[in-house]
Amino acid sequence: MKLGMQKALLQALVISLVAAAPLAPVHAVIVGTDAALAMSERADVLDRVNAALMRDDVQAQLEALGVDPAEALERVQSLTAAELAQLDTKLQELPAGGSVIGVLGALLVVLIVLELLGVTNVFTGL
Amino acid sequence: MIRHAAACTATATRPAGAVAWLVLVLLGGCAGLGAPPPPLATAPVELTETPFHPQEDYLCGPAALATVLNHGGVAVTPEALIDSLYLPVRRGTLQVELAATARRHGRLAVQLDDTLEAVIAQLEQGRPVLVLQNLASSLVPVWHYAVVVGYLPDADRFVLRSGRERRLLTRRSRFAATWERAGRWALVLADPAQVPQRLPRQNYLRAAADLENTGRHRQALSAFRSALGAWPDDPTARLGEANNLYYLGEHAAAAEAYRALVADHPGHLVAVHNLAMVLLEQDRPCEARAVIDAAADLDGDLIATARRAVGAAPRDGCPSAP
Repeated sequence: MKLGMQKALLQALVISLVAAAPLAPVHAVIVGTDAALAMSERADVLDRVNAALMRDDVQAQLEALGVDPAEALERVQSLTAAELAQLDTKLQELPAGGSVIGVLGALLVVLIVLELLGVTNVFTGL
Repeated sequence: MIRHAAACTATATRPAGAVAWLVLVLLGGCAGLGAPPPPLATAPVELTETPFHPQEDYLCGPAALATVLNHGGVAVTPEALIDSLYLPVRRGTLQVELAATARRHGRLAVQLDDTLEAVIAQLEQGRPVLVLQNLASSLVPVWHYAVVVGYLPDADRFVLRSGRERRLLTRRSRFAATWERAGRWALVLADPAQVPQRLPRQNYLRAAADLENTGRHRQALSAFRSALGAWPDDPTARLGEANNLYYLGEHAAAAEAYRALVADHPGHLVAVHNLAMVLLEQDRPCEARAVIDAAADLDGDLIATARRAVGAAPRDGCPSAP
């Protein structure tokens, strides 16, 4: 008797599961367009930041400060979108190369960038 | 950007003007140093047919949005927008609410690039521009929404539907300053069914994605297809088309759209992922497997997820990979 009831319960459970299956939302986990947009925007910013860091004068500043340019580039890859955007804004301020003021300006920007990257503690050390 | 509630009483503008005047006096010595910049080089433009809703107290947001909605053929009154726009506590309207309400009326809210030239370019396309202004100072802000409908280079003045003024002529320098203090925020509305001529691509696509996110898939599909009219082969617009086909239940058509996108852009991670997942869902595991095999040189979380899903699917009857 007890066994029979358990069996009946089990049957009811199975039937309800099978019956419910088609009602459950059939949703492949597709990725929405906004996520793709965010990814492509991050890639664009990353390209800009990389290009700025690859500039000859910036590379020279990095080396003069004893920072391995390759390491700086590597750290950039792991930044969040918000951090990248902040870095990008700073790098947009890089003066055109060539003049003495340009070199000093580039040095300042590079120092700020390194601070953001956590490669140096020039400012906190002051 | 959830920053401002725009308060806009008629009375508030007067002390604001006084503050601005005081600031001008204080800065007068500096302001006199440079010659005023010449007017922007452009032909005069004015959208005279744009309607006007004189604003009631504090209600510049509903009035301005009704103005641009009406211009685009959406029949709505400021009064009908108050409930969704007006925050009594802040005595104003948030920018995000303007965009959300525009979406509810089936329009894309596209933010413009932050230049006066971008604003004028939209006027030349026949689109009035909803702007946020700070009529006072950064310290004591007086927020105000208005609609730019023209620029007259000879007088160097912008033409605004603003407050109770149907045709407010504002010096360019004055407009630029009030706009600058409000973060140069400018919005135009676009009809998803129309090709977006001279709209900023990324912002348009984001507005279309916002339609998608808020469940307006029919309009989002239309918007992404219109985007392809302006920017053929844009991968994001193509993905948006496929995604919204999927959300609308047209799974086979979505799969074909993903497949075509992957054929043209084999490195499009989201497209590869979505194609594989939709094929699996359609009970086409062999095709899904072929997609993942072809993407062997791609990596990242999305591809790993798709690879796992495909790996868990039965492989009986699939032609063995070469």
